[in-house]
Amino acid sequence: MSMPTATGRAGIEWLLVKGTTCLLLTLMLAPICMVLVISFTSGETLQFPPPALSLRWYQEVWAMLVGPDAGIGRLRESLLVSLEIAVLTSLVCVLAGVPASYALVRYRFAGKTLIEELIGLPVVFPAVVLGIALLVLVSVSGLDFGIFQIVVAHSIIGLPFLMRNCMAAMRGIDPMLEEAAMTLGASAPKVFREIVLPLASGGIASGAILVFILSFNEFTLSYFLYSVDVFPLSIWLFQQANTSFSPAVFAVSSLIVVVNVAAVLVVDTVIGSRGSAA
Amino acid sequence: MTAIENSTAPLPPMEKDAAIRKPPIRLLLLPAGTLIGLLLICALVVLRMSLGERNAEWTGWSLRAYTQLASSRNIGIIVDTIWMALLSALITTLVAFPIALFLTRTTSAFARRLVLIAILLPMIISLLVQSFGWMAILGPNGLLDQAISAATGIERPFSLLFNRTGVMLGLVQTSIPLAVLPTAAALRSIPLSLEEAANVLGANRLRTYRHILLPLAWPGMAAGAILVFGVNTGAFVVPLLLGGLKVMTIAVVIRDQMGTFSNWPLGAALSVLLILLALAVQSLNRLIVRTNVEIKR
Repeated sequence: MSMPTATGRAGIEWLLVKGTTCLLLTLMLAPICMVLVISFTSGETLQFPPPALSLRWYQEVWAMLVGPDAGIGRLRESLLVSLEIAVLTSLVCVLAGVPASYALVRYRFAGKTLIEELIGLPVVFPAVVLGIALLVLVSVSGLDFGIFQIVVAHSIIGLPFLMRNCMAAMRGIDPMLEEAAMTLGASAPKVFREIVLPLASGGIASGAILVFILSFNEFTLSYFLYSVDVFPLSIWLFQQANTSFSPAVFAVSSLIVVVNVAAVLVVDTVIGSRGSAA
Repeated sequence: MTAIENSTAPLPPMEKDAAIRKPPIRLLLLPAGTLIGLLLICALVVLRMSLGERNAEWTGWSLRAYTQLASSRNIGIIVDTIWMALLSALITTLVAFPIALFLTRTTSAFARRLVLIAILLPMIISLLVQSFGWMAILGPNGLLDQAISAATGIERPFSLLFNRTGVMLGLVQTSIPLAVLPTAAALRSIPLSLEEAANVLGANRLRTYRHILLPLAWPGMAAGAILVFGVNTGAFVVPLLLGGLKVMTIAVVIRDQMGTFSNWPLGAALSVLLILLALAVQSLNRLIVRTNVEIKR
């Protein structure tokens, strides 16, 4: 048995910390691993352990996506709608968030603290309430916004995430660079385009990817705002879970997990290489 | 928004030039402001509906929805939701501490990165998908069921799905990242020399934890706990999927009142309550951050 050290980086104490961490992380990731394992089952049920491993449910999902009967299950349609919503949401968040981030980082004005607080509000605002209130607004207006009612809802909750990343990147830009460019005669739009945007691009990109994933996975707001024509993937999954809970749902879920993990790794690499936001 | 002065902070002499050349602040804030404005309108819509009459939400005025809130059934649901959020915040904070400690103290960059990615996964991956995973673990013929039957020989010893234990497991698991990140940030700011000093002065590790690590990490832990509490008071997906229809949280009841029972004022009054809880949580969080900053000065 080794002696305890001054900082707890060795000996029994460290072993305990390490062991607990491993155990807790395993438990924390258990549901995700479970989805992955069951998607490879050869059986018809969610039985664990699977009777044998097979790719039959992936074949089924593939057939639902590109097969001749792809229209019936609506999976392909839902996937495309979700991708469309996620891309548009990222776009809206970038267009709205980048100028606002620049204003909050570079300008001093009265009420700045209040605006910063308001920007953070969507993070704590209960999604159910936002979804229901937007639904009420849409039905009162009597208009058909199609895909945009979900895009706007997702943009509201995505905005703080984009701005957090974007502002962290912009704070890392030396203001002298902008001053120098202006002194040399560059116009404000040119300074923004040629200095601020390139230097903040890492933060903007990682923010945009986060928003894309947030929107792609989002359930609560979509649940209140979906319609027969706009039927996102998360709603498709929920409906399947309520009707036929076959391992095909788990195969689709696993594909979503793969996309999500890839996004985390990309964001991690972008942030890691730029050394900006934490 | 009044008394706007366009100026760059770092170089005062340039102020006048900059003011002429920089785009006006209103224009920069307008798109984001529209989105946030819509959120505020949503809050007002809900407030107005909660003060309306049933089936006359926009014309009538009445406090009936709020008196209905005080019925024993609704009080029960509110207390239940808050209790589950509190308990999940407490458990999550305890569970997060060792992970945060490992994250800040490990000398291996690879391990740190691996743990960080593992921490981010439950935050990023769809809540729906994670709930499916829990259903497979807790449900009939699931992992837990099989394991316990094999160990005890009893068929279907107990069910964890569609009751509070299942919901609690889901709430804790999905909010661990929210607690780990602020705790790790607080632990990172504690210099190792403090612990070495305690050691030199003869304190054992237990005393070091009690008098150095825990007091200095507590603002981070509290911030994490408050965040988890705030998120879980509004929990919707996890109770909906793991609670079946047996575990009612405020968010699920709002859905029912606005939908099936079409009692919009009551649903709106519950929504106002959720908004107030969220705002209270945010101000509490700010208070802790502020006191923490003052301590550090």
